[in-house]
Amino acid sequence: MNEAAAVSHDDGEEREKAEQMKEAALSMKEMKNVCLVKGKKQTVLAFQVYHRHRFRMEKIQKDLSEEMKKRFPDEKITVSYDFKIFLETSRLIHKIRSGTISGEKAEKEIGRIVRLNNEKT
Amino acid sequence: MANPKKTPEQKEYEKLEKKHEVKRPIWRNCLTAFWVGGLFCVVGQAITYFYIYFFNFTEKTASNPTVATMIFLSMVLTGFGIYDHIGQFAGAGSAVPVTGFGNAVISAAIEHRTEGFVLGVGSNMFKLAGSVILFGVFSAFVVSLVKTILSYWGG
Amino acid sequence: MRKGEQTWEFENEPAIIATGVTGGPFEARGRLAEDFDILHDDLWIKEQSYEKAHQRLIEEAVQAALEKAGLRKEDIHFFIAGDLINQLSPTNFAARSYGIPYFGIFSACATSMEGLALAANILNHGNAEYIVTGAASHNGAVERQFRYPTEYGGQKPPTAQWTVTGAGFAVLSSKRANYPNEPVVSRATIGKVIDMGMNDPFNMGGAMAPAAAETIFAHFQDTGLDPAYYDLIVTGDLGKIGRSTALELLEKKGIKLTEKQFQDCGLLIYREDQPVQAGASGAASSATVIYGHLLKLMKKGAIQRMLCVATGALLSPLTVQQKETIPCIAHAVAIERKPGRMH
Repeated sequence: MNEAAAVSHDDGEEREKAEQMKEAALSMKEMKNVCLVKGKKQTVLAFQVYHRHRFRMEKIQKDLSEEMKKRFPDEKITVSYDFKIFLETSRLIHKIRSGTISGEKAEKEIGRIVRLNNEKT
Repeated sequence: MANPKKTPEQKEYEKLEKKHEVKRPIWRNCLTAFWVGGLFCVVGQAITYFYIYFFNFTEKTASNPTVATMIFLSMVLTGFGIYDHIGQFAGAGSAVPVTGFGNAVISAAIEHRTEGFVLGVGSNMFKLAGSVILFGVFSAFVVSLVKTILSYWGG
Repeated sequence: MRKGEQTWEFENEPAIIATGVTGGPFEARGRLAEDFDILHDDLWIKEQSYEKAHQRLIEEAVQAALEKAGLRKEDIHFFIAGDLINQLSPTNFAARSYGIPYFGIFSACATSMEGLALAANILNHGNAEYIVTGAASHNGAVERQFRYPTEYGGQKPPTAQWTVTGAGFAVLSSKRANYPNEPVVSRATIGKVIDMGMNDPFNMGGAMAPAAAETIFAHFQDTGLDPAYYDLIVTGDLGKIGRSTALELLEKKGIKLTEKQFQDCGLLIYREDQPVQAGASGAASSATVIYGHLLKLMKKGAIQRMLCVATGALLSPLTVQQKETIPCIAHAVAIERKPGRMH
């Protein structure tokens, strides 16, 4: 999986927006993998960069976060390079696609992932 | 500190003795320190991924349990009398990572078990690692002080 | 009788009638394992502490020596011994269990020969009939006192040496006539403290070499003997670096020794493949090798006359941390085989 986007409540408009966000993230040249789940309230965006850019990951995360804020000012987007967030997001995408999770639950799951990301050491 | 000037006789002897002295193999030491230290880090990375995959830790938070596990491993190796042999072989490679800190603590604790728990283990456990803690904390203080002042000036 | 500056000649020829030598696990794997009377396969020797194990080594070595001499402890008039631990406690505690009038002596690793010289001197002048003397060290106890905990993973440089775990004791007698075939102590040269400004505690051989050379030089100066008189001149624990340095120093002073004639106990005791860096050290290095291995060779007739030069680095953990230099000392004792000569 190089890129994937999913939404918690599937209607055409939501999906369209999620795809746009994903494309916006992928437009950065450092991006290798992007995983994105858009819920009604908030969105989680996890990414991985090409290995040679790893040392600049913090900076890339900051840039991407600002870029997303500019392009989608109405959305609340959490951007993270953390491997655990990437892992959890892609797991959630699988669940949504296989239909084993309800919209409500997916929304909650997004909240959990965002809280995990904000956890300090 | 007593450091009197060497007499000519002593200087001459020093020169003579140097001819016979076996030098530390610096390049070999650097090389082994590099790859053994690297190996320790590979193990540490594997443990980090273990915690990320199977537990609820992020890359940021997984470092704490990883460090604890590495120290635990080094303590087990010290207890079984293996770590000092690794140390003789790898030098800085096994002393610099956090496992070296664990080794310094536990080796002193084992050593002074014979003097009892309070006066032996308790008071001697940090006799090697104590200065690491002291100067670690002190240098962190100095660095953060400098950073605070600079960022205050820099606005 | 004093001869020259710093040498005693023992005209009454006190005899070394028996020896007892004990060792630890590392020595058991060494080259001279069969020359030990008792070897332990554990550094703790089933005791509660390294210091107690140290004491056990001494007690067992003395016991073995007494048994071989066929004597009881009541027959012994003096006990002269020492080790490297603070306040000589292992030796003091061992002396407590024997109840023999006791001299505790310290010359670091030169203690063995200091004891032998003093014992021979007392016997030579008829002030005792039997004396037990010797020295001991214990790797664990010494390492923790002078360096780091035994399990600490610090890297030792190639100049470092390995402290011998063991004890070597000898019973000496003034009744030369009763022991016509035993080796005798014929001379001793008492060394001066020499400090050549070396201060690396991980290079004791380099620090001690001048003291050894000085004492050997004084010995030949005082006695007027030719270096070729001795089949073997053996140092206590100079190690690789100290030995070759001492050899060069002696050559500069005009004493030419062959490689074969000039040996070091610290290089004899272990095998090449044992990880001891520059060689062995410790008070037991000279004591075990001389009283175990070399006297056996002498009794077999492989050696007729040898000069034993034990070297000691008189440092303490405190003086090392205070950046002091390392003063060193060496004592030389000549042991000879003079079978059949009756008095």
